[in-house]
Amino acid sequence: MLRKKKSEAPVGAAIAVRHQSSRRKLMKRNWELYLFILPATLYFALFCYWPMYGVIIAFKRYNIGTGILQSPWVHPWYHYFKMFFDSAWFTTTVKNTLVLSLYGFVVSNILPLLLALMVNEVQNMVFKKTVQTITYLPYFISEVVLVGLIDLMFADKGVVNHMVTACGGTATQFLSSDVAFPHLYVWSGEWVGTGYGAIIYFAALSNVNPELYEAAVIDGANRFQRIIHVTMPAVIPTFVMLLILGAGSIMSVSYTKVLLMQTTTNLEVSEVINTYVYKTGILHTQYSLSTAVGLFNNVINLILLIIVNKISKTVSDIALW
Amino acid sequence: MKFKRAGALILSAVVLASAFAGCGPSKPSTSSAASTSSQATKIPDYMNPVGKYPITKEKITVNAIVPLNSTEAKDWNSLLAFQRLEKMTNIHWNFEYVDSSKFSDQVNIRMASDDLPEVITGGTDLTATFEETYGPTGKILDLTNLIPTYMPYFSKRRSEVKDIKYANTSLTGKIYGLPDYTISSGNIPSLSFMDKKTLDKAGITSIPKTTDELYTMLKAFSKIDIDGNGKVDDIPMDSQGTGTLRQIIQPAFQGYTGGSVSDEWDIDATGKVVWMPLQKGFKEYLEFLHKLYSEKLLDNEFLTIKSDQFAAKVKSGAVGLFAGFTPTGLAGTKMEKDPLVELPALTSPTNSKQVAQQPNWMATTAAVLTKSCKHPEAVLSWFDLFYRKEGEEVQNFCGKTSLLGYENENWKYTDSTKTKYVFIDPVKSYVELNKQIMITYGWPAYIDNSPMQAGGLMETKISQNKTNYAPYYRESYPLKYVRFTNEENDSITTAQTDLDTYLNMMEGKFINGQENLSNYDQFISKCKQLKVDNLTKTMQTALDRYEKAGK
Amino acid sequence: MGISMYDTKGDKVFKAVDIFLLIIITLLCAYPMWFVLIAAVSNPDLVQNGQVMFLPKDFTWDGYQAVFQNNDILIGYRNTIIYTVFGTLLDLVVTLPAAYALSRHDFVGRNIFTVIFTITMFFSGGMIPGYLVVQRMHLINNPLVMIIIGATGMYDIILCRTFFQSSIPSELTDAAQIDGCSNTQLFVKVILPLSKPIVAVMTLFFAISHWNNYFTAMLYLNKPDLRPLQLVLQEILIQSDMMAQLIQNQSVDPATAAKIERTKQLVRYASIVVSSLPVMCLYPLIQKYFVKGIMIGSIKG
Repeated sequence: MLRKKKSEAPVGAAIAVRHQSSRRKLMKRNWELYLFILPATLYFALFCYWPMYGVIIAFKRYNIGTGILQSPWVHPWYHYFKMFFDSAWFTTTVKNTLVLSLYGFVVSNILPLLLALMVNEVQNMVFKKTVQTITYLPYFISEVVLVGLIDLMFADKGVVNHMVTACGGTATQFLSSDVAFPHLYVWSGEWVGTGYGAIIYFAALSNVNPELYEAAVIDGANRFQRIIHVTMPAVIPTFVMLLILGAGSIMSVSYTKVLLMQTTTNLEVSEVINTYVYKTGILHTQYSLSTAVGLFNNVINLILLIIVNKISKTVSDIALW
Repeated sequence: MKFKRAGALILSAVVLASAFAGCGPSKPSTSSAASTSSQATKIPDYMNPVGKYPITKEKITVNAIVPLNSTEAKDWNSLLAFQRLEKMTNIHWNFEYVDSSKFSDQVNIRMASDDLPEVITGGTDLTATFEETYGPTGKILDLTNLIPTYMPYFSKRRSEVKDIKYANTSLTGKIYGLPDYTISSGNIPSLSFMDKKTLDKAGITSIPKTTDELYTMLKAFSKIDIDGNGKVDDIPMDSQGTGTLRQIIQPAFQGYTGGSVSDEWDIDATGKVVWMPLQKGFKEYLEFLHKLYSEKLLDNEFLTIKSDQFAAKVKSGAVGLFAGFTPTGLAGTKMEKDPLVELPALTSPTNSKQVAQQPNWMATTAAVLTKSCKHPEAVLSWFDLFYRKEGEEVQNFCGKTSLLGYENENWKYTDSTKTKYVFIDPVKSYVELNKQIMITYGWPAYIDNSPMQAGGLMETKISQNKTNYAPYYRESYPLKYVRFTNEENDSITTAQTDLDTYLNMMEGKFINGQENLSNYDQFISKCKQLKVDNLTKTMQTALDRYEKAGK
Repeated sequence: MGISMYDTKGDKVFKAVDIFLLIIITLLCAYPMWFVLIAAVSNPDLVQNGQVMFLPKDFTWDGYQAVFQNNDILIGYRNTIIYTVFGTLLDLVVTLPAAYALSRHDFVGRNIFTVIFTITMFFSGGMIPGYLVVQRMHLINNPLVMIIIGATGMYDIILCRTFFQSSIPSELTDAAQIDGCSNTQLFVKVILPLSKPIVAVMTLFFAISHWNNYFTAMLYLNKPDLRPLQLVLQEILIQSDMMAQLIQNQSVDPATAAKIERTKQLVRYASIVVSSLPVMCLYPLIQKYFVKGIMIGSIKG
């Protein structure tokens, strides 16, 4: 099904591209498309590119009083990056960031798709709508309340430990455990995020022509084969695209939720890059250091995105560019 | 006739013009910043002599950014104190309120965008770092030469209390901000309270004075039913994290008190800066807590519970000794009328000196004037009112008024010993004060409110503190007041975070047994690897500079 | 989506398991919201002691009272509704056409635009330069700032572009061009009507994003009348927190003290309910657009 994409390349465009002089012709014929993209371009130019010069803070001894442009350059230029790399917690924070991120990446890409497929197989409209609505509700719970709920459920005498002891196990201290932390972190994220993440797949699935299913049945396809050959192609493009975009935020583990879930004894696995930088900022506001670390994160993210994009292009022909 | 009329008009215009010329804005930034003479003796024309009220001849308006942390009063000018002050001083304030949770971000943005108000007050949200960032660039005013003339009372306080002088002086010897020095029960931590009924139930007749006696007492607690639910399932001692334990147990073993308040930095008898975990007694401190933890005398969830959970546990009555929970929090529970007792400063096998950390009385930077300030002399004179002590009031206003309201109107002493006070109707507490009289915090001021509020759980807390901890007060490293240069900042920022994170983690692990105390030496050598010696040197340099300040 | 007369026994088992699992998942997802609802009306100390897991205990309206007695709530609702409606409209107008343009293979410069837009996902100047720019554009304390900021993002554009590329067959475009249709007519009369699901989804995403927006307001709006709901709720939370702190430094009569302590925690839960109820009601309205396939018959003939 994926290979089918290649032959779907628009006939008209294929012919046009072969003639180089037709590039100008294309631009002229499609002049309205440039108008279509104008507002977005304007927005990015004004609100993203114009302020982007702030990135140089990472290379300056930034003093808010003197301002960004007047603050002196720091010598050597990699001073703040080196500060971060030299820190004793550097390897630990990078490792933890990657672990939490990759773990979450895998789970959060698969689960929403799975949910959407499961709902798709049901015919009852009322049931479908109810499931869709209820599963997306947890998205609105604030992080503070979510972590508060986790603390209550996994407390030494909380519901979870009650169930564990009822089944004959021994009560565990989940909240201070190194082992439990990544799982608690990732799955609590899934708890509130899966339903919301499935919405885009519901939309994609709703666009599948029912006649295709009928045709497949006639061809003798069983349920699984129908899923693979009719349902999946409708969601694969979105799935791959989300995968690529997700690769581009691997380093960006938000510090707020981790900070809430950290305890002094699980720091070895819960101290991530952003919580570390946040803590140094409390001691002495360090705009330069945090900008440098942010820049470091973003560069890694970009590199990952480019790599995953390239892989995706060669394997499936679906890519960002 | 016509000419006479015209002449009269012109004459009056000229007279008026010259009168107003005197009231026009002086040029504060250039004159005070450029002035190198140690005394600015000439008082600008728009002001009355210093010490005479009103402060200015004509009414002036001052714009200020303030953190909106008041609970009720949306318009501070509607408060009684401000109305009276305005009448008394002729100065009207235009307050711009900023969400206090993001105060420093917002202020920094305003400073960066040059959209400056005349004055910024911030209580604890402005810091010495703020002064050091903006002072040298001129965005906030250098007050060094203005203070002697326009703030006689603040100058007096500076010479009376050395910490004020040290903390208020910038790295280059100048003064950029006004501090808030408030000795008040609000700043005193609640360290280690117990319900007397629990002691009686457990058969304890004398309050523990040493860590061994503490252990015995907690052992006795573990054998009784504390909350009266029929089961022996309660918690002998609870604390939220190690913070309070570092204030009551660590000093007992080490004789140093900087564990909680100063990030483990303290000063030994010779004036040298020390890092507490490397000093004698730290291992014993960990061993003691580990013993308590493993025998379930210390709540096994203490490392992970959050403040709301901790409070709920204490309020349910299931905790014997609660560390770090304020007695006033028991209002409304079944324990509120019970007599409460507190542990005294303890001693231990490794330390026989009773010590307690003196509470932090001061916020170094409670107010700054920016370069947009049109009448800095008048503004400073206005602030000087808050540095008047009791006995130095003018129209019944002094520094203490900004905390409690007007004496004999909103509060009064219960008797001539002046050790206790009560509020006067309709004022019952800070709630009504903030609603009607005055915003009670965040001002640059000097306030000595050692007397305690009479009655209720507050009196319990303060009177207990008076006997148990106050006599043994000492200062550890003045971490909140010392200033660091940019280079020092760079060298200590990541090193300090690294060290703290490692220490916090290992402390927790040694206590709860995840790490065996036989590996203690490895912990010490890892700390040394984390550049603790370099850090100590830098902290020493900063301290020496601090103590030379203002001389 | 099977046709029932063809259901084999295996199919029936599959369906049963599927439905069973979905019920479990739904119950699990329903729980957090249920917890918030009961915690908002229960004694917070009991909640913190883990005694309120499935049913409310020690019923109290204090939390909701604290939220609603603040008159600014109504202003907050009003502002947020305005910001959300207009913001969502703007978002759609900026994002959809741009995504469509990028989905066309005959759009010269397609890759260049994609790269330029993608870079904005990775590099940002930070809070202070951002503020300076907004200030230069006179958007500080201007309600427009809540509508304009966040008008689009590459992430949203990509989602829409993917949809256009995979769900709109190219034959449609070719056919329309042969018919002499201009790009605008094509977009408005053919593409959009066929894109109801993605428009519905983006409307939902944009609306939720505007509704929950706190930071833009916090950074750029100071005037009390302009505050959106999230800002008002945050202030109520802070105020009850401050109240609770104040009474720790003074003796206050026990009933008042207890009430203030309780309120502080209740407000947190009540705020969630108050702010998310309206948005939750939006979803069912959008849902009808993801129900049936709509491509039927568009190509035939």
